Amino acid sequence: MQQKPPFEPLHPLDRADPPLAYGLSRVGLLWQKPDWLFLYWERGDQDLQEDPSVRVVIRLLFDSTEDIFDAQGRSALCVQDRTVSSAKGSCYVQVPFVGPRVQALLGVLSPQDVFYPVASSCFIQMPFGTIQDDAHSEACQQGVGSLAHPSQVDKVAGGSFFVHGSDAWIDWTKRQRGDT
Amino acid sequence: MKTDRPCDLLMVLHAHLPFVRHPEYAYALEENWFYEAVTDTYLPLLKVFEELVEDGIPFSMTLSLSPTLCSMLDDPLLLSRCGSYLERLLLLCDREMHRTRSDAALHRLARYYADHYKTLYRLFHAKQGRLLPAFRGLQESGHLELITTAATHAFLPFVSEPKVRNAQISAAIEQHARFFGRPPAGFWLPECAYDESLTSLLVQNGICYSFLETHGLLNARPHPVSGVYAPVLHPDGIAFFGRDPDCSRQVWSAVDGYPGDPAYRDFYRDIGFDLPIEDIRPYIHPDGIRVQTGIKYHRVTGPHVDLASKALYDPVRALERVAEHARHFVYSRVEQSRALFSVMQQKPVMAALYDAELFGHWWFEGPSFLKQVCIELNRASLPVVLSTPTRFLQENPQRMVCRPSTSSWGHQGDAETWVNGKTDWIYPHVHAAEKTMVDCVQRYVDHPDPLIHRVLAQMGRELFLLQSSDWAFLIKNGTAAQYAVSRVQCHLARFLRLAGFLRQDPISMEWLQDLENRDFFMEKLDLGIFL
Repeated sequence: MQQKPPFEPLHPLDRADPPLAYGLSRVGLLWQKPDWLFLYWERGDQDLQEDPSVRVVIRLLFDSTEDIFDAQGRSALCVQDRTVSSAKGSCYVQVPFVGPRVQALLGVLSPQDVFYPVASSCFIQMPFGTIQDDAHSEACQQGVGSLAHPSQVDKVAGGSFFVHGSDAWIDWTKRQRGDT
Repeated sequence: MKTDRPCDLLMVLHAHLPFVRHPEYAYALEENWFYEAVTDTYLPLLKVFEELVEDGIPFSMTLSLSPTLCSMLDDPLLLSRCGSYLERLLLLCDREMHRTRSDAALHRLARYYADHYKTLYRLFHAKQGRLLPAFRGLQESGHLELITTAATHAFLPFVSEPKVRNAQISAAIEQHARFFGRPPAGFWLPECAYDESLTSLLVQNGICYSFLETHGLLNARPHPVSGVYAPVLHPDGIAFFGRDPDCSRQVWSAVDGYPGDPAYRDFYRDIGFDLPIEDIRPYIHPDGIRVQTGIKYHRVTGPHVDLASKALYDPVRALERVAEHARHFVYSRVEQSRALFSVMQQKPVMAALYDAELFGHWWFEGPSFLKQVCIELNRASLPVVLSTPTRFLQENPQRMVCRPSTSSWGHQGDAETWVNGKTDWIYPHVHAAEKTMVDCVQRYVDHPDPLIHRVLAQMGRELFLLQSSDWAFLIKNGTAAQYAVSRVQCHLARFLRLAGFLRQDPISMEWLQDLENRDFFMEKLDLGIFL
């Protein structure tokens, strides 16, 4: 039964721990549940110099129409800005209504509230409903459960509503080490 | 000759294993997944299909064979080891015949297993271990429609770079055409994970249809008027069949499903765990770690019966239950089709989607059940016939145009099985690797040095292997979690080191050669798929 293995066991070069950072400014989104998505980001210091007069933010754009929104979020139904202070992080974000297309932008917000994006995620299309909705699919057009529908939220100019989020990030490299 | 065909039944089996190949070890615990699946599922399915052909019983099924599985089924090292695995199993059967000689009931079961595994071993040898040409033969005779899935079963909505998504699809189709002589008409989305960004890529790659979990179709916009009982057409031009929940429940459900019947063989009670270690030492891990041997003498017995209290298995009684369950399954489909036909304007279709490994591996009697379903459907002029997606689409060109909903067949139909607190750390690394891959191919694809092309191709393989949805699944479920974490880390480390070479870091030729031989997968990887 025992035979001589044709290769040496795992090469030392293959054992390296994953990097703690990639030195890039980037932001990524994944859908997790109909009402939740996973967001991570990394701030490359070359792109985002420390400047006390600007805020580094992640801008989340939610849309339920066929329109394409721009970097400022124009035409998006909901815009969320989340201030970030650490070099990298991740969190789970609840979407404000059912079935939006979502994009995340990492950038800086000037004191004049002008947003300058430096990295963007892909667009992702969130589910149009939950597994429970499939038999009563009207629900997915009306909004499900406790999720806020745009009509229930104070609107700002341009038909969008705007939310400022908290900075509750978890460093994703800690997860890979099992620290959290 | 049946003339009345109100309803088509699509039996779709998805066969997949992650790429597990460890030439560096004489015995790798995780390689057993492959040997067990060959022994428990792929050989028994092939045997059943060939028996149906010999008996002249018409049948049509759809079989999705993942590229990683095809690579393993075509790998001389793994096939040689699989042959040795079967030989060891036969030796264990002989030993069990001897050990149980004073216990008539156990001895009958030992003889049953000896006959069962000898039959499979003979089939394995008759095919010279090469099952892919046998499946291809069944495709050419019109009994199987073979389709593919993503190159390494990546959860495609989580692939951030569109060019890498395309590469996962395109590489799979190229490999499928090489193994089976023609490109596939259909594509199994890994984990039935769908989002709208995939449709145009599938269409560009010549795919005509795919499958979705039930709610992916039922939550589509606009809502499909025929529910899951008619395929819908996405505006990009690809058809989607929705999984029929009734067909699924009868086979999958832990509560109502057939495999939980008390007469069926119990999966967990195995002599690898029952017998004293000295009796089974040559048949388990060399370090004495107990493993499943495939010889299991007990039956399910009841819903809440603990392992120690299981009753002995009776193969004759189990086969009687198979016949009863097959009749029940067919009867249920007939009733369902009558109800559907009375309310639907168009011809209904029922898509029964299953993991292939359910049949034989988890549900020992599963292949016999499939055979019996085919026999039952052919017995009388029933209003249900087995068909294939391609045939159904050709015969029924009318389709409602819809945009299906983002969905998967994971728990609750969402993606939490693959992205959660235990696994979310994986994706920032995978996404960084995807971007690096695209950048490197764009920059170096025309480079004259063949070594650069070797490095790029190996980077592509390592990235693909890193993207496998299986690692997150195993980590989340806690089964082989440590192994899965090590695979993620290992493929990432290899990828980054190869990428480093392109930035002038030194590289060992011996290491590169070693890597090409270890991850012997997608040998002819065309870098153009990343462009």
